[in-house]
Amino acid sequence: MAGDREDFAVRPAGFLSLARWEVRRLTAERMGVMLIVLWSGLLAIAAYQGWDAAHTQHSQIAKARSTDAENWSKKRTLLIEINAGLREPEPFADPRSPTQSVMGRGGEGPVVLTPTPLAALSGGSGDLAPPVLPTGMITKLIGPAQSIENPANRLAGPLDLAFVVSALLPLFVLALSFDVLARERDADIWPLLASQPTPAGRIMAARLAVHFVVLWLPLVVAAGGATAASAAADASFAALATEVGLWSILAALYLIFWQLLAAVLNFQQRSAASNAILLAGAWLASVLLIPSLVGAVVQTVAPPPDRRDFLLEVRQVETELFERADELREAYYAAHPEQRPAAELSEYDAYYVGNLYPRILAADDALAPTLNRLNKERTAQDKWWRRLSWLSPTLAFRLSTEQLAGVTPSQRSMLVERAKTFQREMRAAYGFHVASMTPLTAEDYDRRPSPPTIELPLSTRLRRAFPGLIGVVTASLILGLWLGKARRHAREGVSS
Amino acid sequence: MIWTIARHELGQLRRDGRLRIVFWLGLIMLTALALLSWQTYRRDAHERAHFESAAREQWENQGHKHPHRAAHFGFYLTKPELPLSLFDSGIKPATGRVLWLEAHQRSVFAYSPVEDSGATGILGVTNGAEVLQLLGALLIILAAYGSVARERESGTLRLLLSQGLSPGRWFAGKCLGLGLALAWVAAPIALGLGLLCWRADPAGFGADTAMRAAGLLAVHGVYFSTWLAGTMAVSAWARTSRGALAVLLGVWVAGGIIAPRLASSLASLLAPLPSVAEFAAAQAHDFTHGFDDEPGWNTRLAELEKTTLERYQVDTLAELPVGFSGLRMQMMGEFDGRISDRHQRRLEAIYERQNRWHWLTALLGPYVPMRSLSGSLSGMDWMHYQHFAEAAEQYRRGVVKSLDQLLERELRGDKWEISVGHEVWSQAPAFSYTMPSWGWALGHAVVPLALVTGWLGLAMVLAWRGIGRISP
Repeated sequence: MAGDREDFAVRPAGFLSLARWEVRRLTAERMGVMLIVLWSGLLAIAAYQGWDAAHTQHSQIAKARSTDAENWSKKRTLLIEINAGLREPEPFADPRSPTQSVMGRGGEGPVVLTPTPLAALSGGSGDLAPPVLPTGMITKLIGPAQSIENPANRLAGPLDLAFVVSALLPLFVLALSFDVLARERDADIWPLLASQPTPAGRIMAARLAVHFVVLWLPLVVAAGGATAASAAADASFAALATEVGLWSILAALYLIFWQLLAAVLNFQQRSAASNAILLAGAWLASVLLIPSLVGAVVQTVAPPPDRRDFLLEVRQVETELFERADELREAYYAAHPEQRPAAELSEYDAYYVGNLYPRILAADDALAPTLNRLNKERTAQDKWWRRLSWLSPTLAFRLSTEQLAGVTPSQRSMLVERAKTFQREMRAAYGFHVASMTPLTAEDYDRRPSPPTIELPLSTRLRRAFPGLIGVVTASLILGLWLGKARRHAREGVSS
Repeated sequence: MIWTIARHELGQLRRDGRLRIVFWLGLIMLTALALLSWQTYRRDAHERAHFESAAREQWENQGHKHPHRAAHFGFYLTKPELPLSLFDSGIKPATGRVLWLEAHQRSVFAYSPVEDSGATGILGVTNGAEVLQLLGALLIILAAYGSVARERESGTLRLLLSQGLSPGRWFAGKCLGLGLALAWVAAPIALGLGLLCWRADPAGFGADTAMRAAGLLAVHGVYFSTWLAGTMAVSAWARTSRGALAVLLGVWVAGGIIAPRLASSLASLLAPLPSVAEFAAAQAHDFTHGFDDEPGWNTRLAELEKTTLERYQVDTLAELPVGFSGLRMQMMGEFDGRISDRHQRRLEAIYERQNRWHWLTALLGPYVPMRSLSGSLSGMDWMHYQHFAEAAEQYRRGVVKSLDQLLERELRGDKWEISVGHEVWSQAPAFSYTMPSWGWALGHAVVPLALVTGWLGLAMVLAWRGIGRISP
């Protein structure tokens, strides 16, 4: 008898049962289905776009490496044939001549910054940030990257996963969860719901959990798919899984932040329409207003380096060094008397060896203070962005995903730094031949320093992404505390 | 009657607290961006003038050197800007700030602000025009989404119509009220921005700039009227105010937030550009092997040697009474120019195909064509940049050619080395450039203008047909 009585008693609904009802509601409503389809469609486009961009970068790297290996090998073979008397050198393309074979463009090697696995998820700066930097003995490493990208495309930026999550995910949270409890309030069944043994908090948690799964799972699939499809052939599964896992956790935290905000608003005594307007306002502030104002503040307190001043300084240094070319040459040969050419040089070689090369060596030292200042200004700007990113969870998410993907300008500057090292290695290997115009041999070709490849380890990227990550977590925690207060307030409101 | 309804609508809008919040937020942001742009414009104009004069001074005082090395030392130019650019900076953040003119190379813009900008804006909103176009449209949606639908929900529509009020007049009154409210908000903003532009550079604010400013005012009027008519139409068609708001916010997000990025991604995927390395390799290939059945460089050079020897009736280059290196460099410059033009045309054809994908996303809303139109009238779109770059390219070719002709005149035989100084560098003419007129700008913005007008037409047709659906 006692058991029969229990069967008729009203028991609180289980979490899974509540979740099942929310799934039924979502799939029954045209709007719910439309939102899920739209979300999946956007993710698919963004993932495909990310795959294409990463694939293009990997192709560029492979092409640059194969072209370099082929050219170098061709020159070496030609040199052997010329030395054996089988061929005659072509004008300005003698593989024995240091100025014609290793000093100029022909001697450049591809220094590579390997795109991180997460680069497929953050578009970065397009062709302004190429993965390959051809570097040789006299390559100018201070100039801008050449770009032929359509400025209209660059201005808008790509529809990458980082953008879809940072800017559009909150809107999907808004559309799904703005009335997660307010719909009962609007339909005047809130008192009835509150009188049931199932706590309102559990109902809301189950509904939000369904929304979380509906938004987050396709996101993880898209991020995983884009990353796996665009990964280098030798990338390990564990490494890829770790990277995608981290990114997905960050996205989950960001999603939770917006869901908590929706929950807080729903616990307050407002209509669904008011919640929607408030959530839209929060989105506008987080995505548009605060980042734009932060941008304005950063520009004022840490203005970007003035490239025009920089150009004038560089040209001034170049002009001064040009005027001192004879002096520089004599100083060089005084320090390295064994490198003074034994025979008289042609007009062409006399300029390259006696004028250009010593000037370029001197320019490195002369330009160092200017370059340091430029780097300091850029680092200061970077720091301000990271400091102020706490003001907007969207900005914090965006910055930390960019850091994780290794696409920020300061991370990319490592390519130039490593290229400088390679340039020094090339000069150490062939500087003697150029200065003394000693003909190159096959052995000289064999001891060419190999162009380096830079990897950005996950630990370094994670360290840089950490402040942004903490920003998203802190914002979520604050909302969590507020949610607790709002829940108590709602319960007291119903009981009174 | 229409006037009474309009006054009633104005009163309702004044009392709506949510609108006040959005209005003030938008105004604060617009003011902050406008003041920042004003400060940036003034500083930039000063620095630009300083940079060009300093670069010219460096050119003239580069010391004694070979003319061709001077041509590689090159010139730097910067694109002039109208004061309207402080309202709409167009593609400036994504385009280089300076143009380097050097021997053999087509001038390209370098050092774009995005290279140094660290973190980029999430929505890519960088200037007052974009804020106005995005937030202005949002303000209109929030003000008007419930204009018809809410009255239908609350039952007041039934009451009004039962008293014999014509739906058309009632709708017209609502539109008039909202239009007046919009004008009341827009007029001080337009006046303020106009004054700011004028104060930033009174001398540069001539008749042409005034016409461009008037054009900007007119196209923004068309754009906001489109949103107003569209919002009223949706409100008339929707069964509930909630449904109307959802549809309108969906259109706003799709057209204003998703469309620009979608356009960029679709354009890159469906009309891909070559990489910089491929672009350079293709030009190098044409130089070495020739193109369109014309010979490559070595054959051309051999032909030049032969014809020059014949022309001067000598057996070797060393015997020539002119500098052969000058003739060689002139031929190289001309050949480089043709190759560069050919590849530039190909590149621009791809840009054109990409732009068509941008126009296609205008189907999602009027924001994409409006942004383009506004940039064009402010003199900051790609067409204006290209116009300037083309003028600079012709200037570059002229200066380099004159330096190569100097080699021909001053050298003898096959000698290369020669050193000249200030007397030669100072003879290079200064670059002068006249920005195209407002008519030219409008003529090159026919597609976005047609798209924005098309959206207005569609919105008005929908609104007109919506009147027929006004029933309790």
